[in-house]
Amino acid sequence: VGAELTGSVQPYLEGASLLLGSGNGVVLPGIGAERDLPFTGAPARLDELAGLDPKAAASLLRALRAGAARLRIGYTGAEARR
Amino acid sequence: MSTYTDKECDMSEGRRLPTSRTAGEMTAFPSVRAGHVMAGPQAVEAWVQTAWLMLAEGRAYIEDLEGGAEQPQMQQAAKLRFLEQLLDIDQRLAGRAAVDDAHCLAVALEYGMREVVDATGPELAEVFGLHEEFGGDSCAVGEIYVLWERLLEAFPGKLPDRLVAEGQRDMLRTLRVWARLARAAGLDIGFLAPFMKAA
Repeated sequence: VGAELTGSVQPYLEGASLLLGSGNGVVLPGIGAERDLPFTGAPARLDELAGLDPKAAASLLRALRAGAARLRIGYTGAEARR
Repeated sequence: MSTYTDKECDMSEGRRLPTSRTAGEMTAFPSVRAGHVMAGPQAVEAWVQTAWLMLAEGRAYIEDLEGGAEQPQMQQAAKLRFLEQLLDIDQRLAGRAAVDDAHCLAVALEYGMREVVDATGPELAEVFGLHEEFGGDSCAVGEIYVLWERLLEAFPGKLPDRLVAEGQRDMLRTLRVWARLARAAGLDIGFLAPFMKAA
């Protein structure tokens, strides 16, 4: 699972930013920079999605809901099973 | 005003309205937790204005309340203005046109707030001690301080304190950040100028 930003994280105040994308904007408490959003770096396993702490999960949901991020889900080993 | 029911409207001393919550039980900025999405430029304008009004006007009213312990009539005036200011912020965050100053108090007491804090009109009247006789020799402000602390705690980000010397540097840095934020949304930070002149 990976999160791909379709907008930009813009600093707002110390400890918060605004995520702007797809014509929408949403304030993200606890997010200072793009790298603070979960799964925007290297892809994570699906079970790690369930292991997100509530604050990180809430930030990810806000970004998705604002249309400024999207989740990509891939399957490792999918080719081998065919 | 129609939101006061017989059950809620108890103007006697030493009272707690049966249906009221204290300031400590209210949720501050509930839409932040919910991830309220606005149009990009509207979000930038609303949140920058809100931050400014909180750090400049809100803090100033709290300072007035704290410094006016010996002047209850001044406190009474300040707390009404503070309530009106919070209603103004509430309207901006809701994406509504700002209410004229003369009507802010009535709108707050009639409709309550949903963005700054989830509170009904009667609950706001409780928190702000509006049962007190105006012009009397006391002014209840304890719940207002609790509400203010909850607002600061729930606010998305740390608000610079421009009323202290070291806060000036933070304030300048924040204004530069806001200018970049406004540009990213296709706005000119000049939208903040009228608020800064008024402060």
